[in-house]
Amino acid sequence: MKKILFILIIVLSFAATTLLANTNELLDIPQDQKELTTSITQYVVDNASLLTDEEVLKLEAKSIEIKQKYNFDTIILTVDDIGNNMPRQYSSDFFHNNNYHEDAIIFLISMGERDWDISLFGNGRSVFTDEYGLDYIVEKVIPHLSDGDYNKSFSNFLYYADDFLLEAESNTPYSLESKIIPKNKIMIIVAIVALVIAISVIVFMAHGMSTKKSKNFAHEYVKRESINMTERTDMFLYRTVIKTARPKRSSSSGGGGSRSGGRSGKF
Amino acid sequence: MSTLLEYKCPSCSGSMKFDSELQNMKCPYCESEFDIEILKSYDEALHADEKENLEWSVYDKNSGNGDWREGEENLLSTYSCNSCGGEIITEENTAATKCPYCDNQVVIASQFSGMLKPDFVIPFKLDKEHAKAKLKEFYKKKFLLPSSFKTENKIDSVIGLYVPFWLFSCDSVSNIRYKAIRIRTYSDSNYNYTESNHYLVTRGGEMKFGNIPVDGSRKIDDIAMESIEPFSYDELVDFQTAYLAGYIADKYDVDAETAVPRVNERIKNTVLDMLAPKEYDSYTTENENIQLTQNEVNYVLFPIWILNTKYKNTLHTFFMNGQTAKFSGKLPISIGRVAMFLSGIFVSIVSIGAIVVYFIL
Repeated sequence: MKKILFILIIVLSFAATTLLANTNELLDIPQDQKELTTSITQYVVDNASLLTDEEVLKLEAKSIEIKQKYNFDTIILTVDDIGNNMPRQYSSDFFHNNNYHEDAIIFLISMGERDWDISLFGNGRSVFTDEYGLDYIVEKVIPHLSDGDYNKSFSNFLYYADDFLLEAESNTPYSLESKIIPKNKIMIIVAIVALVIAISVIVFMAHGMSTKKSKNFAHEYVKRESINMTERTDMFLYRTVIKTARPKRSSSSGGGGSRSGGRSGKF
Repeated sequence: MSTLLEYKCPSCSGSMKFDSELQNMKCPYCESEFDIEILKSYDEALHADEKENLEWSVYDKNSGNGDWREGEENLLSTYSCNSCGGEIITEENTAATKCPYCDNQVVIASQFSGMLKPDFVIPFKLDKEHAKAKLKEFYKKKFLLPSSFKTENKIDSVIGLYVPFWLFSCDSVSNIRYKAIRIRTYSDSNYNYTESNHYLVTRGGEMKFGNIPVDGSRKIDDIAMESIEPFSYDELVDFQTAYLAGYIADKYDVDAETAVPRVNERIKNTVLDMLAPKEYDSYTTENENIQLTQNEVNYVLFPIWILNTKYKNTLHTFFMNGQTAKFSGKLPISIGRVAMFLSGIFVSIVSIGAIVVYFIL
């Protein structure tokens, strides 16, 4: 009994310390932060001043982390207006005029026109697939823009970019065929499984509490040598056949139309 | 064949009609089609059923070990329990103090009030200490047992009781008809097919049953008695009053006839299981015909250790086979401990899951 409690405490304290350690990690701003932000390559360009300095630092740090992990540029660009340009063109020009890595994603918002645009460059197109990935990110990111929570929008953008890049590294990027399962959904499944396991263990233990069981058979009282099969007939009567249509492999619709390599809209 | 004959559809039991177009028999209800020859043999099989015979000849009181020898009865005393009315028998020099059923004091009754002399007895082989050790062992590793059960609980009484049993032996001749289905699946490019082939399966067999025990005491737990089966009949000996010395005995209050339904049930289940066409994918019993012959009933006493323990004013009774040490009983379950284990296991798995999902994946 005590042993089990002890194990339980160990497991829980392990869980707690891991949680704490990770939150610390998230809060820690790397020492070399200042130096990096002033370097040529800047990932968070807040020209419209939507973010506080601290927020910029955090987002920048996350982008640098992504860059170091995947050698991929995640760029956040806010501007007051884009003049007569199309948002896509503006992003593209910005990308080419600055010294960014060829593989990149740019998230642009322009306050004047209330335009947003997400553009992909290089292998970004295979990481954030057009028919699935971009829509997924847009869904997680754009609603916060409309609410005015720009920091939340940008940190979500970087969070999911990291997730997509990690998945793409394993050669199976998220797509219509292999969708993201949200972590809280996984946890619900884990909880259900845990409950089933816990109940099964209890039922098993409760079963051991009683050795009272009816004996409904009498096999041990049959005299083995007396068994004699006297008849054995199998008469075929009739046959029924149930026919079910085989599920057809749906051929993936499409590929038609130009790949935009991005998404844009108003918020 | 006679045209007046009515055939039943093997599929839905409706009346079959001859379909002149198909030149075959067709069921108007379920549209099944059958070959006349198959229907004919099916019908024959249906009508071949004999009447089942599960009768037992009543236990003849004079058939067994005979009457008590002269003076033998005087060596026995009867005790009765004022609390539950239980009556127990013992040898004159053995003082019974506690009732094995309700753990209360017993008083000596005026006179030995008569008991059918048992045919055989299996003498006690294991002692009281063995029974106590077995109970201790039973407590071990029972994580749901209230912790106070072991500490506060003391064994109130350990009583060696000869429990009356009826032993049923017979020959059986059985003919069982099953409806069985063999399933085959196959597919072509567009469809999956599940083909069910229905058969009428007849299995006949003979087997002898030897000494199936049914306890003959109303007060003793029937399920517990079945749990501590089997007894080894190698040590079955003719009854002598001397075997009762130091132990107490119960006299039967469930007669052999009352015990018959239970033994028939066990015989029937066994026959159906042994003859079952297990080579099919599924089967149901359509008709069973079991004839029991050469049946014989014996009245015997089997050695049982009864351990009574009181916990929170409830009597918990455990039984041990006095010959084989097989143990039976039911321990109380602590709700608190169930809750503790349930939440403990749940929280542990969820925490580990959370670590994996949020920090490793």
